[in-house]
This record gives sequence, C-alpha cells and structure tokens, in this order.
Amino acid sequence: MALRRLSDPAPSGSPKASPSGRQLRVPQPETPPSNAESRAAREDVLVRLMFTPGSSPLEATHAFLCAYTAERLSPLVGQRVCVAAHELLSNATSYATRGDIVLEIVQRVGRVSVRVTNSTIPARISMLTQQLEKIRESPEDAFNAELKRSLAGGVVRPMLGLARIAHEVGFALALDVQSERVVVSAHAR
Amino acid sequence: MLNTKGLEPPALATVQVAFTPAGLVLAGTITSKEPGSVLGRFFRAVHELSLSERIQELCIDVRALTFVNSSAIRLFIDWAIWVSQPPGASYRLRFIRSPHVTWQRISFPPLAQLAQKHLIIEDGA
Repeated sequence: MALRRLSDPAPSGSPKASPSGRQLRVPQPETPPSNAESRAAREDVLVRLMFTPGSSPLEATHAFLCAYTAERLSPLVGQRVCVAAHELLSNATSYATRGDIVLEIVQRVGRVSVRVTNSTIPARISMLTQQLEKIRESPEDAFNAELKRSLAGGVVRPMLGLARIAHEVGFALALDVQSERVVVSAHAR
Repeated sequence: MLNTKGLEPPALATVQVAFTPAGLVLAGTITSKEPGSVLGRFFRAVHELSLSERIQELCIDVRALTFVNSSAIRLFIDWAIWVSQPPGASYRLRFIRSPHVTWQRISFPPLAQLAQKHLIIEDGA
C-alpha cells in the first residue's frame, strides 16, 4: 500500500487513517469534552514512544524517526521533526526525575508537531520557563547567546538544543506544566 | 600535511572519521548523548598533534555530516576555543561546510565570529 505523505492534501471526505492503515472514526461526545479529550479528538498521534529515565535511547530513536519520517513526511518536514524530537528527548532524558518519558509525533489539522512529556523538579521547570520566554522573544539571539554560554562554560548546562529547535528548525516551542509533569511541544510556526 | 603518527580515527557506528592530507573528513550523523567521550577526545588529540607539528592550517570537512545534536555542536565550539586560546603558537582551523545542510548553515557563522582570527568557514561544493 502506498503511503500518503502528510504534506499531500487529504483526499476529500476520506476518513482518518492510523499508521496501521485502520480507519478511525471520532465519536461525537454527548457532554463537553475535557481539555485532554478535546486535544485527543483533534489530533492523530503518529508515533508514541515511552522511555524510562536513565535509559539512553537517543541513537536508536533518531535512526527510527529518520526512517519513519522519510516514509511518511515530506523531506523538509521530516528533517525538522527529527531535529526537534532528538533535542527534546535529549533534554528529557537529562532532566527527568521519575515516571516515563513520552515522545509523541502528532498531526493536527495537517500540521506535524513533536511533544515530549516527563516529570522533573520545580527548579528545572522554572529554568525551562525562563529559557522558553527568551527563545520566544528572539530565537536567533537565544541561539547565539547559548553558543556564547557554551564557550564560556559554567555550572548551568547551556540550553542550546531548545534554542536550536526555534532558530535552526523554525519551530515554535510551548510549555505545559501539570504539577511535576512537563510537556514541551514544538510545532511549525 | 599532518603527520598522524599512528593516531587512529575512532570507529563509531553512525559517524565516519578519516584523515585527509589537509586534515579530517567527517560523514554521517552524531547522535550519541555524550559524543565528547570518544570523538571529543579524538579531536583533542588531533589538536595537540597539530600544535606539536606546528602546522599552519587544519581542514575539517563536515559537508557529509548531515545531522549533529547540540552536544556535538559543543565539540566544534571546544575546538574553536582551543585554537583561540593556545598555550603557544596556534594554527587556523578551516571548516568546509555544505550550505545545503541546515545545521551547518546556522551554527558555523556565529562560531566564526567568536573565534575570528583562527577560524575560517568555507562553503564547499
């Protein structure tokens, strides 16, 4: 069966298809959905991978995602997704405290995004919030600042990976915090 | 030409490293969490060899290095620091990059600004 690239327009009136090729029908809720249900109803999760903190899944995951996105996405989108997924997962494996790390590649209204969920400590959440604010203001300035910080060294690890997602890949970053679980997502601006 | 004096490039799964008459050529991807443990150590050995050999210039051809993670970008930052702040006379570090590979197009210009006198960025074919 030929796979349709996600950059291609969806056939008119066709139902959504899961990666396995099964057709999915989204039921109409009788009561107003919660935020999570609403989000789930609007998106297709193309990939969901779970890792335990302390594992080192970067190389194998990168190889898998490159192969997967090469089949399913246009080359430009696939490359961007791979960079974002790698850097977000790398950060999560460095800073996750307990519970699973979840990496998802999601398609929502024809747009692909990367989402990584993990538990971490409040200090890390605070640092992440500040960093994302800086990146939002100017991705290029944040990237150059992180490069300089790498040159200078220091105690705090530079967040070059996050700045890179915004500047090099051109994805917008968002942070969602629920207690100690943080969700960092990257999507096309 | 660099006399490698038996220094062997590391054998790694995703990245190929080889000596050339002008320096080094790298190809593939760098995705390991801590690339410094093997590759960084090798780069340091090449740097020290370049100093001891008193070469004028070392060429690093990264055109076929299609993906590197941010930890690997730091390896190149380290190298820029080494040539900028040597204990003695240093050499020029020339990176040959591909303008078609996004990470190379984005990451090298600010790096060149940080180590202006010792780092040259050349666009390869």
